[in-house]
Amino acid sequence: MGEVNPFIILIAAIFTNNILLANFLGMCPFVAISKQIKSAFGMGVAVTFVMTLTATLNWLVYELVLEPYNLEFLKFLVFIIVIAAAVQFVEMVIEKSSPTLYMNLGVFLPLITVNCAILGVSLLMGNREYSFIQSLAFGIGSGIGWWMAIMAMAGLRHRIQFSNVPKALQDPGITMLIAGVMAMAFQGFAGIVNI
Amino acid sequence: MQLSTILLAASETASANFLTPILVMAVIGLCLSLLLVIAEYFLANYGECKININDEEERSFVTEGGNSLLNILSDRKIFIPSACGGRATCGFCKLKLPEAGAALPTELPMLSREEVKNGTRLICQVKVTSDLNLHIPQELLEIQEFKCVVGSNEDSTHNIKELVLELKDPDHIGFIPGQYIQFQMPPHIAKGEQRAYSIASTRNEDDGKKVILNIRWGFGGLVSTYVSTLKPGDEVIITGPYGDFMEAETGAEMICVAGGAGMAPLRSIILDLAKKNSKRKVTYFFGGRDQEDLFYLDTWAELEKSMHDFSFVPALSDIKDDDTSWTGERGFVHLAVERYINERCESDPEQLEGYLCGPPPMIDGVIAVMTAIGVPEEKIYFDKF
Ligand SMILES: Cc1cc2nc3c(=O)[nH]c(=O)nc-3n(C[C@H](O)[C@H](O)[C@H](O)COP(=O)(O)OP(=O)(O)OC[C@H]3O[C@@H](n4cnc5c(N)ncnc54)[C@H](O)[C@@H]3O)c2cc1C
Ligand code: FES
Repeated sequence: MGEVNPFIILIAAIFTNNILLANFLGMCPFVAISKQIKSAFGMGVAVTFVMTLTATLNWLVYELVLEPYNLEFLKFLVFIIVIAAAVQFVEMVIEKSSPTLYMNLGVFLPLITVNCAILGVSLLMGNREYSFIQSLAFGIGSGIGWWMAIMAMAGLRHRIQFSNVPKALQDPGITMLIAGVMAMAFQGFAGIVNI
Repeated sequence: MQLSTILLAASETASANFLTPILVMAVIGLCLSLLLVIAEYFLANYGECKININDEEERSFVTEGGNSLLNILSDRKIFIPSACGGRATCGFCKLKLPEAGAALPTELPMLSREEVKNGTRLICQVKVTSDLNLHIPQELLEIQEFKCVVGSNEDSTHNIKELVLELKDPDHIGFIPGQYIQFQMPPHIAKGEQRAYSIASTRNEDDGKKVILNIRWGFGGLVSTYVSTLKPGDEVIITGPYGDFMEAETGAEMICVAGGAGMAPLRSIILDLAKKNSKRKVTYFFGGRDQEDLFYLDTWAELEKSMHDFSFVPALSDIKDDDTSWTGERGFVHLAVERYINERCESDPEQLEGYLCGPPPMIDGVIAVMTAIGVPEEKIYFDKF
């Protein structure tokens, strides 16, 4: 896999291999936080940031610690711990540097610790044997892709508020259906690039 | 480097193979915790901050930064009204604090444009990170903390408890009928949580040695559920008195409206009027669903006889049309108030005073009806629960 251009990985992670719409990872916050555009935006920023950070950190831990000792099987455990610590750290930095942003992201930051898309990115890049730069691109791209998807969903749900959705399908039901249609639409990007 | 040599050596000896993952996990865990501790030391350390209160040397103090101003003050036994317990939903904890920076988004719903401009903040949202100069009104500095023992905790209705607290230290409380106290959760259950409860006992009832509260429970709330489990003899801590919901001493006709636990402050105010032999005309509307929601009925029946001009008007919303056992008002309480003012009230609407207490939708309904008839908005006093 060493030869794929990081830029292609970035584009692919955003469009053709969107972590949310192609791999269906990170569905829980996607459904829960997409009611309002503003919160969706905050969650998108936070996910992108943490995803990029943890992808690179986990790459380093994997290459420098786990592989030399043949401890690949520990990666699930180690990645989760690294993600949890990274989220804590980011929380501290944001709280210090911008109380306003901290208040806006407030609940979303700790939620990210258990977002499976974050762990998914770390695991996928390992499977695909990316280099450091490729992992970085994959992390950023996946984050932006997730952000874009949740913004699109928030916009759609905003409009749906005024339509007459059958009672049984309201809220999560219709959201899942829309997510499915969105995923199909994203398949239209398939073939442009591939990873 | 030494560590990694040891680890490699360990993994090479077959017998110690199982140790490697444990060691690696331990080392990774340790490194991450160490990094976080170091980061916390540098990022979350605000040093000592001097809090200057009203330029009075004996009240001012130095504290460790990083905590909310509300908590820091309450640790120093300075109690600022905080009915919501610091969640930025009551808007009672306002102080002018231009040096603490602009208001956070969480505070904006509770602040007027004017207040945002002049630097008013909700101090439960202010994290102390530098020296601050505060101006705290004298009456707030007089608020005290009381250690109490539960005297009794009986059901008034299916969802309201009458909690009687006996004050121990200090052993009596002075307050104006209509005011409230704040109930503090024991730190080992929920540190820093507190909620407002209006005082249902009246001025000098039992020489101010007891405080009676009416507490609505049964919806899974943190503090109300805890209170519902209290037994005689349990120790609790309250602070108070707070609030400016009280009788305006004018002599005008009073329209009192309550629902649920909103009973409490009006019981206090009306008993006080009775004690003072007040000549005011008072009509007390109480909203509920059915007969089960009504309480203190003996008190009201007695006051209707003994007071100069008092009537108690319960209005029940869930009575079936064919149920003849109920002869009082039917429907929502704001409609009963509307009917009364339009059909039977002898005072001019401009001369009326409103005293409302209860759940926000009920209060909003009554305010809408009263202002539409012509009762001046500034003469409608209320406490939303
Ligand atoms: C000035 C003032 C005076 C008050 N006086 C009294 C009083 O005399 N008696 C009294 O019982 N309460 C009174 N309250 C309300 C009281 O302070 C608490 O808000 C209430 O007891 C709920 O606290 P909790 O910790 O039990 O619930 P929380 O754990 O804070 O809330 C849990 C959930 O329950 C909901 N909830 C809150 N209140 C109610 C309710 N009444 N019915 C249904 N759902 C609710 C909340 O929205 C929340 O989602 C007063 C409030 C104020 C501001
Ligand atoms: S807003 Fe209620 S305590 Fe601050």
